[in-house]
Amino acid sequence: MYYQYDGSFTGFLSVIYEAYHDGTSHVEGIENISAGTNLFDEEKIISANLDKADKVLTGLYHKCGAQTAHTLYYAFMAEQPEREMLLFYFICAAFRDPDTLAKGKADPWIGQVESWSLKTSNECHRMLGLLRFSELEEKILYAEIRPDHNIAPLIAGHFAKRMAEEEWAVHDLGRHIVVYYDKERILTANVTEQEKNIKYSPTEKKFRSMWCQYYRHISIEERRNPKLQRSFMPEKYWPYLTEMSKVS
Amino acid sequence: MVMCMDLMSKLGVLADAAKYDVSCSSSGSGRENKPGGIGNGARSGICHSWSADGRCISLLKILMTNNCIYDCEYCANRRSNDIKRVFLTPEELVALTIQFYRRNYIEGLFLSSGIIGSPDHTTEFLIKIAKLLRIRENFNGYIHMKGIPGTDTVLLKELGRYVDRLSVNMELPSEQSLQLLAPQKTRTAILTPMKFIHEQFTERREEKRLVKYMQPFIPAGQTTQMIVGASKEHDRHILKLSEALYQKVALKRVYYSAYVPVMTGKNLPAIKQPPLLRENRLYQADWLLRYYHFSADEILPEQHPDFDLEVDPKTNWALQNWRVFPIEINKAEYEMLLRVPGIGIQSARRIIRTRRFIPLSYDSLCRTGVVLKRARHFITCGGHYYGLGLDNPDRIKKSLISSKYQKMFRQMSLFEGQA
Repeated sequence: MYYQYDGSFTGFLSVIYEAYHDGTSHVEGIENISAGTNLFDEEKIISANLDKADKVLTGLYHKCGAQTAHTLYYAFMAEQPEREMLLFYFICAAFRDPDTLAKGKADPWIGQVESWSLKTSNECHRMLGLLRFSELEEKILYAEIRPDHNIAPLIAGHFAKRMAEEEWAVHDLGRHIVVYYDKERILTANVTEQEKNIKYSPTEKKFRSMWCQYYRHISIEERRNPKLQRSFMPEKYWPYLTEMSKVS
Repeated sequence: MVMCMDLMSKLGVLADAAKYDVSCSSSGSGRENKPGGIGNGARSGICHSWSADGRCISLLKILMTNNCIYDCEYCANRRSNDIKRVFLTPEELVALTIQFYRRNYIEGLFLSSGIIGSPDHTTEFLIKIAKLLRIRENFNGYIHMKGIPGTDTVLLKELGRYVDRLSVNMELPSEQSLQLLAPQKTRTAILTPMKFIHEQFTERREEKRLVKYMQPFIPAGQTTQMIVGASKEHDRHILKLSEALYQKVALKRVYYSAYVPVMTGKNLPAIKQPPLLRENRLYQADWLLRYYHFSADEILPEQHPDFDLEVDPKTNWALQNWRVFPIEINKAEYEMLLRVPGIGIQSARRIIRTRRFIPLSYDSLCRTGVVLKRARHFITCGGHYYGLGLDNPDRIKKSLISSKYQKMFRQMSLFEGQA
């Protein structure tokens, strides 16, 4: 049987719940509903259900521990093609043997899931530093990012703690997702239209150029090493960095 | 607008003056945000950018003023140097810190300063800035400030209540070099505040066991910095000093700064390039001290007081102590695994974890993150040896120095005159 879901993590876990009840040996494929229908195969469309998803995740958490649940979530958010069946395999293996992850390096499939999860956490950590807010007219802080993995929801908690008294928004340009914080809650929304007419606050320009000034002066000319700089801060992030857009 | 332009150029001058201080880490403090406040500490530290020299920018690293009563020969801010002197007011510094922080440019402030009036007078300014940030602005991000040698301990104690990290710079590794290059600084004046901060730190930790809430005293600990290559000390001397500092005053880090020839002076060495490779070797050895259970005497024994610039200190140690190798990867203890070149803390832990279930083969070792290029010469997997060194360890060294590296080494030693 082929299962179709809406592409969300909750949706995916709901599929796992249904598949478990149908008997896992029936599962031939799990795919995003946007992939379209298959002509010849039997399909089942699963809608995202929080209760079902919660049962699967709590079950995994209690049986295999936080590390396994975390790996699953982060590997999912890496948004690699064909992720569903591999993650399905990972969940089955974990439920059969709670030590799956510890033995992971010997099984190339589990190793793959682990490396996806690692990629997501690495980009998360990197983005905590490389994200740049700009102050808009209404005092809202606004950041644009274009990450490889779906990390906007994962980094929101960090900024909510750090800037609890500010209103801010992180916009994932590639995925058309905005994560917005209104001083109380974190909200995630899909946006279709690109905001072209952004109005910055009157002091924004001043602080930007001060930051660029600082950035230029803090480098030691005698130790110049652009290769090292690139390896820490890959060029793909530069268009959204205040200091790099001015320099280049 | 005139004010703004003015601030721009001051920012440039004072960032220039602060950049030779290498410390920029924002780790070690898990300070929480407070209701109505802004900022918190990230225990692992966060780098926010990397400048053109490849060094990370984590904090707004800046001098309050480049005015200084001292006349240290290596320093661009020395009294006898004819440069523009500027001063950032506490309000300007606070505004810069908060506004940069909100935009996620930085993790916090790293404030140092030239000495104006007296060490006490300068420290009073630092305290004022720290208080403005912590109390008025309710800023809970990272603050690192310099402890100025010769400051009254009462003032240091107060400063320590507001900041996450304090550092007193050693600057030069011996009393003689200090006398030669920084005649107004003495070793005692530097070590006294260090010891005092250490005492406060331990005292506070003891008390913390008894009382639940306690105002923290420099939660991220203290660090120091030494300039490498401006004076004549051997590497062994520097490393022994670091070891002593780690053991006696429990420093978190010792930073090494390759001497950049910004000034000329009769007592300064005439070099064109900063000794970057030597600095790198010192950092590698420093890591061996702190995380790999090595002692300074093992890394640099008395008969070899300087680093071999061709291979890293760990490989060098392994080659000198070839009699303990190769070791069996499936049996060796954790401490021994750590001593194998190419195996780090992560991979050593992973080896231990994995081999509990399945014996490791050479192929599965690849997936643990071990750098086999180096490690293969020093290990056996299930009794098999995959390296080059069994009969002749010299071949290992030859194979490890790649052609690119040899070229770099030649250039470096040309500049340093250490061929």
